[in-house]
Amino acid sequence: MDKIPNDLLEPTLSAESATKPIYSTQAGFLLAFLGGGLAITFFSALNSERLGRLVRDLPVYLLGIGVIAGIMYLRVTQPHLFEISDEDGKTTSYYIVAVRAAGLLLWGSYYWLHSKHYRVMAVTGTPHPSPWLAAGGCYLAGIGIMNFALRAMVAQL
Amino acid sequence: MKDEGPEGSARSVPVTSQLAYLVERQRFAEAKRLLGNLLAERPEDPDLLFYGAYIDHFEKRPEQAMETVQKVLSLDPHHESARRLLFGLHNEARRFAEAERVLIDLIKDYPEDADLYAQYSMLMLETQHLEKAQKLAEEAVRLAPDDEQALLASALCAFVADPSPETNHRLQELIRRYPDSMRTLITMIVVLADRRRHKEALLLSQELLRAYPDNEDVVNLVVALKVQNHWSLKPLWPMQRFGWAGSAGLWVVIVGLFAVLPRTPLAPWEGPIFAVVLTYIVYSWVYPPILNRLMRR
Repeated sequence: MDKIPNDLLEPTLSAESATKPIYSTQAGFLLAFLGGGLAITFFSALNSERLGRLVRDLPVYLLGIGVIAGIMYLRVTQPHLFEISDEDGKTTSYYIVAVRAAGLLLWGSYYWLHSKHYRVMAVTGTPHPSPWLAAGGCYLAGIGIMNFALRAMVAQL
Repeated sequence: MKDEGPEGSARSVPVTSQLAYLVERQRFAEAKRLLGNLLAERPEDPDLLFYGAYIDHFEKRPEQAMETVQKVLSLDPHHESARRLLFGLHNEARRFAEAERVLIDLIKDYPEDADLYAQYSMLMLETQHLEKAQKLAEEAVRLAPDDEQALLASALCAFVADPSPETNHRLQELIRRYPDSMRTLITMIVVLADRRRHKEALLLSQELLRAYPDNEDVVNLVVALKVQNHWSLKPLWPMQRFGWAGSAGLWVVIVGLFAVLPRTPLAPWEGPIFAVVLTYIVYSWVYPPILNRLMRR
């Protein structure tokens, strides 16, 4: 018989390094829809932390934050991009829609990032943890930071 | 672990063989009576104590089972079946680091046992160490290409890497060799449900229910899939077919619809159309859980 590869019999798990189950896609979807891109980025970063791969995923989250910052910057400098006027001259702003759409796109990207881990949970029947506290915190942080940043941008320009 | 028989520790004592026979056939009442008599004569016999632990484990008394297993291992540290049971107890209690330690020691002592590699692979899968799970599954298949556990671990690792059942050769091998195995069927149902092929998944789960009518997990699976296939949920087809991406797409369509509606001849109907869309959204959120509860009765 061939020798067993040594690295296979090196212990991988310890009480400290144990990964935790991640929050469900349903919770992520709702948070992305209601809280927008920044909230879902924070929420997904929590999932990465639970999987012990936050450092690896960090560039993707920075890119996500960049997308949201870009939308906010355009909102301040080019507001007409988010406005549609009807025949009566009434203008409707679609900024919130754009933030939500970006949130859903980011949610899709983050889901893809962790899709293997979601499939593992499906095949092993591992339940998802309760998302309420984490999602609530990310929602408040996401909305709060976006409002603060938007005001700061308006004040600067 | 639950499927594993305790026969590994049966030694050549006729009465112990009788006990093994009863335990294997899950005739636990008779087994406990016999075990009580035998333990009165040989209270420190590791094999007898192991059977006690095995019955406790099977009858869902993990603390008692753990206590007895530890006693067995203090009397005979190399007792193979007790060590396997100890792994199962740690694993089920989600003490994964301890479970891994027991398993590594077992593999070192039994390096050609493919089942041990397969179990280690499943442990790595459960703890999200996908690369190592894959390597261990490959090792298990290399040692025993036809072993059910090895094929299962390998099929699950392949599914996690690429969910397409058509390219999962290990899953195809598993189905070909063990078409009636509960684990094969559950794996196939999970794969089909993931690909949103709910009709085929329901048919398979009903087969499974016929074979295991008392298994609560199987009953829950059938109910969940029946809900997915119910005629009254047909209007939710975009979400059923494309999942959350379908919901997101639908939202984009609705936002687009209400953005252009005022500029179309349908503008006077904006109110009723909004009411229909709102009703649809409420129905998509509220109705499926209600149907799920109704089907469970």
